Amino acid sequence: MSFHTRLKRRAQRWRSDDAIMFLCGGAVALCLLALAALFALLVDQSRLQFWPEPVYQWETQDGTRITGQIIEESPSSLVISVGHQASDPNSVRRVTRSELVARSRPIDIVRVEHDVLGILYGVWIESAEPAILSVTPEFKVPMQGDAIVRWYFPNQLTIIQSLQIFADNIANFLFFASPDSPSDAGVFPALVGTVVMVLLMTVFVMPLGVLAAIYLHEYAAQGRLTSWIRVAVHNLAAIPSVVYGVFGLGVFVYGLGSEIDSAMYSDSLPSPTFGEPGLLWASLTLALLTLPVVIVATEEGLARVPRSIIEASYALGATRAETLFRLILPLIGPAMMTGLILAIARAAGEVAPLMLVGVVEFAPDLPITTDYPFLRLDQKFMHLGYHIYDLGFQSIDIEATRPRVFATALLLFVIVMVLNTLAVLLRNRLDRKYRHLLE
Amino acid sequence: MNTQTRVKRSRLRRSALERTVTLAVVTGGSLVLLAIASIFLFLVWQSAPLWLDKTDLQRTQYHTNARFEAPTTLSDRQLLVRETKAQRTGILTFSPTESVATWRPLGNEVALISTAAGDSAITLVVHEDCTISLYEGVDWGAPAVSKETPSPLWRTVCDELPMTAKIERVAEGRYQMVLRYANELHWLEAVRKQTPLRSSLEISIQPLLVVASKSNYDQHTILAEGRWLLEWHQQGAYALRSADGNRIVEGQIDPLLPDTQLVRLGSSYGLVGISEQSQWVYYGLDQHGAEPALALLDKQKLAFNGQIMAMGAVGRGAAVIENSGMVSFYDPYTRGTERIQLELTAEHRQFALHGMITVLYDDSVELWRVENHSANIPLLSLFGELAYESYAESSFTWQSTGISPLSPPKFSITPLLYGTFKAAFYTLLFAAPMAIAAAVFTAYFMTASVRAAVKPSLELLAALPTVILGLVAGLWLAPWLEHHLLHVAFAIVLIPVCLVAMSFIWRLSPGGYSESQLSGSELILTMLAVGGGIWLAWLIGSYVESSVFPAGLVSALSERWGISYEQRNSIVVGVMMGLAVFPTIYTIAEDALFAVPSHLREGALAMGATEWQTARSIVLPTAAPGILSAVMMGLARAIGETMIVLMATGNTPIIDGLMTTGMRTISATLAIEMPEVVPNTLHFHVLIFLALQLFVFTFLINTLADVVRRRLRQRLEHL
Repeated sequence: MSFHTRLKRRAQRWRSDDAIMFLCGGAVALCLLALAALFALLVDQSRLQFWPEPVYQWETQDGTRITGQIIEESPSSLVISVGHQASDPNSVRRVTRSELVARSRPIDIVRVEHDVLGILYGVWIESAEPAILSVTPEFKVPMQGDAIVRWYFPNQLTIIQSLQIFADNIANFLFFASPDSPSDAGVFPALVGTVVMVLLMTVFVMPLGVLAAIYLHEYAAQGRLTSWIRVAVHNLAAIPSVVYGVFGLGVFVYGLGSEIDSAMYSDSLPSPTFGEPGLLWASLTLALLTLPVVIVATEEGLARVPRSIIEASYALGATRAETLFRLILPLIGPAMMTGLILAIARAAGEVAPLMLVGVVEFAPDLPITTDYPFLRLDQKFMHLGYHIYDLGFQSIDIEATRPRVFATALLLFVIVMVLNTLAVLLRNRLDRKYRHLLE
Repeated sequence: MNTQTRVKRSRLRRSALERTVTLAVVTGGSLVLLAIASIFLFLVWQSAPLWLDKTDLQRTQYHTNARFEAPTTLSDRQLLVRETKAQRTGILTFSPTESVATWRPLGNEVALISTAAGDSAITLVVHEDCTISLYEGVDWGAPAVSKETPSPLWRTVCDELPMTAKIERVAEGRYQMVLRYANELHWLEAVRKQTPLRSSLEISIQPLLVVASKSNYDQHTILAEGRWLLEWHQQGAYALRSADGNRIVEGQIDPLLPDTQLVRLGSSYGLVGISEQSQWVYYGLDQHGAEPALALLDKQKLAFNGQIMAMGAVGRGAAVIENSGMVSFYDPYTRGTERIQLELTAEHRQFALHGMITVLYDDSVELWRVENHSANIPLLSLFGELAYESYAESSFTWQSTGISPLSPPKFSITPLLYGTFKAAFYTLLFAAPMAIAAAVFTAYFMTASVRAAVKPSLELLAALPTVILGLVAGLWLAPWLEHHLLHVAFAIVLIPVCLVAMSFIWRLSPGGYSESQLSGSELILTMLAVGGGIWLAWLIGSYVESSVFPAGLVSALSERWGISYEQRNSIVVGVMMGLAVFPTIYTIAEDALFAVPSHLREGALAMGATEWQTARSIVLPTAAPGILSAVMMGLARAIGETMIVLMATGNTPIIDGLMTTGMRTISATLAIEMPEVVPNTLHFHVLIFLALQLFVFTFLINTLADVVRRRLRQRLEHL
């Protein structure tokens, strides 16, 4: 049989089924690609925040020069970070490509991070003592030693040096807290705020959620009412988070908060202490929001505990409490862990309710202190998710903060994805555990 | 013995532990469930004032030793009243500490009086000796016991007594006066100069217009923040005179009922008329035509029983008071009406309405202040189309905070509902077919090992913080799409074409694939096909754009076809929110498809049906309720999603179904407006009502989906 006939015969076997199968497969492929593309986009957009990109110099049609790093490229225009300029308060410029004549990559360009002025691009003037940086021929900046935070030749870096700067930038981004400005600091305050809020939430949600799940599964009469309650609890996970925010604002802040104020902080009234959004109310609201997550996960774990084991425990004379503490709770440990992780992941990514009950675009103090009681429960705090929203959509100089916003989003993405993968892995382990038990 | 006690003790301890644990679990568990239920209860409780709220009136009573005629005008701490015995007008000042009111006569006998109400009222007084003075309303600094005559802010002497005099507030710190003489009309503006010391207020006066005019009109007021002077006649003829004196527009409205009094509203664009025949009319200044005109916006019946004693502007709207002490309120902006009975103490009394209710008895004065305006709003104005002053035609308008402090808020929630469902519709349009197709492929065509890897990673999408999706949508996708709309349109066509082509190539490749021998490599082939489709779309799109639409498709849309294109539009929302909703639909649909017993499928295949025939006529119909419930859950998620719509739309509350425009959803409105709103106001309760609607929608849809899914599971168990 010739190759040609074989091909022909194979082609005859093609049916519309195959097309439909591939169309369905295309949906899967498109979504997987979208997920990958999303990650790639976040990485690409936040590149400038971390990686020492080359610095270019452009000649424009009117004879001026632009020196800087590319933030964004499109077929028609460029967005360039030009650093601090004497004439222009904007550190970012948008130019159309037709304005630009030539591009070069001068080897002697210096990138200086200045204490006061921010980022400067220029060349060192030889034999000046102290050193002078010439940004443009007209604009020269004398450099006192302690004013320079860091400087390097971005166009002469070896891979090792680049990696060093890269690591440095990541560390700065994560852990450097600038005391007075939200826009040029790293995400440290937001990171701490998120972590503290989520941990506080965990303290509320875990005992309550597990208690409710055990009650529903072990103690409540398994009638029609209980099954309806169960449906209701499951469906609460689908209630829009902003509704929880409205509830938190109305009940916790305006209700409970003002009660606490009039009872305990009446001296400082009318300026509210707990009667306004704050850390405590935010974590309580999110606890309520994640309660269904914990209940569902714990109940799932409870449902997988083989009935035979529990009955064996009762048969040996153990009471319900003993069975609960010695048998059920250890067995559903991983399930509770799964619930906990899912709750944390959900809380870390949630923004809408927090906007109502305590998050703020810039908080001068961290929510934790070294003095008693170590937590500032009544204070507003910063949060990674809200930080993204605020920097990306409320800030004045969006182009300049763009790499930072995407870097923050990347961080949040990684945190949430790691947490969720952890939860999936745990759940799989749980499955294996019970498979073993049931055999 | 020893052992026995130990056993006994241990038993006691165990039963005590048992009881405490049971108690703790039962109370704790029920409390948690109760807390969850309280969300619903709270929302209902806080929405209820929209229908049940009553305006709160606060009474303060002051004793006085004189007898007065009904006050002509007043401010918050003083009344301008005419004393009956002395037949002179003076000021009644209320002591802030004691319940005593002291009357002091004004310098000369008063001919005309007018007060501009506002945060600090200003009173215009024309004396019989032809001096015209302006008095500060609130800060007449003299102590209540002093007999001194207050000193005016400004004073002038006129040649002849004006026939009418009126002062009205037109903006913050700006007042206008109209003085009509026999042959002349004087229109003046008074601007308050706020000096650092609050006690030394100054006023600068400048004449706007002095014209010679004889008038047939009997009343006048100042409209549109001082740009137009309205004069009218009981028969319905009116004239509008512009502040620069260049334009006079005459017009006609339906004759007012006898005894109708027109009250100008605080916004300075509207008038409310109240007649003794229980008729309320609401007029607004319509400036959209070539010439401004008065337009009738609302007409309502609100029955009175007794004789009307006084009418006037109170709060946002207007009110009348009857002899019995029954007050009827009308709020022109919500179209809400309300009747409240005042408890009056004595039989002989007189009333006045000027921002608050004043009741004069023989020996005392009562002030009823509007403490908290009722949040009552009729359903019609929540959902319906209303005519508003200074709007060209009636519309569904959500404008919760007025543009200026004078412009009242408008609470029609229809645009928000519309926006919510528009966003959800475009989301499902994208997500539902994709998710169902992906579910069919995963449950039906994928090998077990590939499925075990693919399903969790697609489900991981569900956990993606929506703020990240919103960020990408708003900052990256929206501007990108504006330049690549054509490419995307081609991709939508070319990706399926490439997939079909790929299925043909798959057949051609050696290996003799059959339905039962899927290898897992098909996913890679589909990915290649998708990539190829995108690449092709790119090539063709760029070529077509450069040759057909050199200025770009977006500008061509608006220029050639008149379709407006907003950068943050429904397509962006649909795609990004679709990505967020996709895993919800996918997981549930996939579970439903996978749960279809394999013997059904195998039976069909054994009977000679092809794979797709089996899927179409056996598997899909069996799993259809599950797929339906999946789509419903997706809908619920799309309705409630906040951050994506907040960041990826322009958040403008407009009603149109276009793909290329944005919307404002309920959830985004809550996120934007809830942090700023003052508790226990109309706006607050409307927002809570919106939250309640979100809650009820999503809860109902989810419960329904749950029931459908349960039924399906039971049916499958029977099979």
